[in-house]
Amino acid sequence: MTNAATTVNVNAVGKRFRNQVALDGVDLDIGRGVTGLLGPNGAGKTTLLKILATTLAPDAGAVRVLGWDPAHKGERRQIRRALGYLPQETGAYSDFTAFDFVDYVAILKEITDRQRRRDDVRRVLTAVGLENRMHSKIRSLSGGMRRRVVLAQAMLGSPRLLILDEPTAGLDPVERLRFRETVSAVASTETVVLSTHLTEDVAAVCTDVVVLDRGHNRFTGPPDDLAAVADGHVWETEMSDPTATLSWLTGQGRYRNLGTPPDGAELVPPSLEDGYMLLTAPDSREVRS
Amino acid sequence: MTHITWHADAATLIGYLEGDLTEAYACSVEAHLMACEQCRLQLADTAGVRHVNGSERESRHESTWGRVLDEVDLPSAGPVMRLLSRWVPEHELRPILAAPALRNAGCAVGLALLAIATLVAELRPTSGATLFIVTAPVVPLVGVALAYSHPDELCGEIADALPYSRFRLLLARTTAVLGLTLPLMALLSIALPIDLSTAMLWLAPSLALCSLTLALSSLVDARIVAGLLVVLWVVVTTDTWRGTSMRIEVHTLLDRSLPFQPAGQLLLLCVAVVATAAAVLGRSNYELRRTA
Repeated sequence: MTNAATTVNVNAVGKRFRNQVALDGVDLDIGRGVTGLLGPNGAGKTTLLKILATTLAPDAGAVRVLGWDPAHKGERRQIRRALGYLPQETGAYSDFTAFDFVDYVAILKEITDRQRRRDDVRRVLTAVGLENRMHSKIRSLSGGMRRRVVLAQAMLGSPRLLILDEPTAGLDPVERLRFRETVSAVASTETVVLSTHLTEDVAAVCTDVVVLDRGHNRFTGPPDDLAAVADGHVWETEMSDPTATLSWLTGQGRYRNLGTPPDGAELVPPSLEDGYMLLTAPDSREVRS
Repeated sequence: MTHITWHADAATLIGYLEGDLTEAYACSVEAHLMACEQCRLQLADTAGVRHVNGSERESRHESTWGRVLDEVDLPSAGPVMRLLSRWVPEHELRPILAAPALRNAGCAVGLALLAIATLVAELRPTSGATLFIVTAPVVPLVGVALAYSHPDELCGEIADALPYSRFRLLLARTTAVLGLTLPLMALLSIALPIDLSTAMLWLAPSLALCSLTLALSSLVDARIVAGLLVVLWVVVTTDTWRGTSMRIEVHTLLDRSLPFQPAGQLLLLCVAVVATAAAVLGRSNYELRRTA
């Protein structure tokens, strides 16, 4: 149910592409802070983010973003004015410099006052650590820097909702840390929704996590609760346990097993990743926290 | 060691404090102040007398720095942008003129017109005019199709989530292409050795073809639409050329080809109006993508 703190409300949303189901009756409420969408490839993360970013219409269900209905043309425009969006795939950007590109996007974001626009462009490029490269051609920047340029455009106009699709893909560890710092600063006052398949991203920045799998919402709640899903389901052995759903050799030279433990198993505290793996196993069920 | 041969007078120091000096003169004074203790002390006295406090100085410094940044950050503008920006706001021009597709469209239109003009010059005067009237409608169509090719080419999928209307962008680009093409073609028409009303018979089909491209590009890629319309136009006008080896007089064109007869011209104008109206009324169809 929607309340005053809810920024995004997704109600029984479905989406199909030909005979492939991308989303199947997904329900979700998202409030202020960072919400991470976690799931394997094809789980429906990008489709859901596109629907929230108003670039894709759902086939079924209802969505409200910042209190507006994206199916309604006028309200869709209001959402776009208050939205920052970092898509998974980005364009070639021609011969733009980082500054010119972000300035161009600012124009399309209807920031028409030149002084205000340029101040904002400098602000966002500085926020992503590109203050010394803002007049470099985008084609001359590294992949990680290009990703930061695109992140910068998403932060134009101090959006109330920031939607980031795989924002840490292609970033090196230092850039990833900087990204987390940037996102945390935004999320202190606004709402950030990001998709990832890295549980480290979720553990580092997310206040809430949603696990999507094959178009279904498997879990909604804080990251600690996601780890708790695997309570009593993780044990370690010297040899791989054939009864486990999943079993892998850790850096300590012992096997970590996931599933229903045998009697007398040496249970260990679960991690976020354990909870995620357990939920996305074939026989998993939806869990809400 | 540098030997100081001059000192800043009171007016110069006041001007420096007030930020009234030219950029070059202010830099010169500042360089001098770095080296001259006497002038620094004089500057401190002047500042004290004038009760200039730190925040005011800082504010002036920030203001000067802001002006420098504005100059540095000015997006690179070509001659067309600089000329047009005298009358049209920058935020209206940049989405149109920053597009590489529009430059490609301009080049294609220029080359097409050059080719037609060369062919016309090679033929007998009136049959050359006929060739121009029949082929000219395709020229703006090619330009419009190329300008549409990637309406959001500059920022990919980001453009889909921006409030700036995609239809507005397409319409602006169409207008830019037509604004470039139609006057050039009108000038060529004036140069033809026939009366102007006959020489301008290409205009109605041009408008109809471009409007149809605009309207149908909400459903199908504009380049496909333009390609189909070119084929359709060739089919419709083929009768005109049958058995003439391309040397046909204008009066024969008027007799044989429906699009150039009064009824055909009226019909084409109606198509242009209806297609434009359909595009405007269905402008929201240009926005949402239905597929991933």
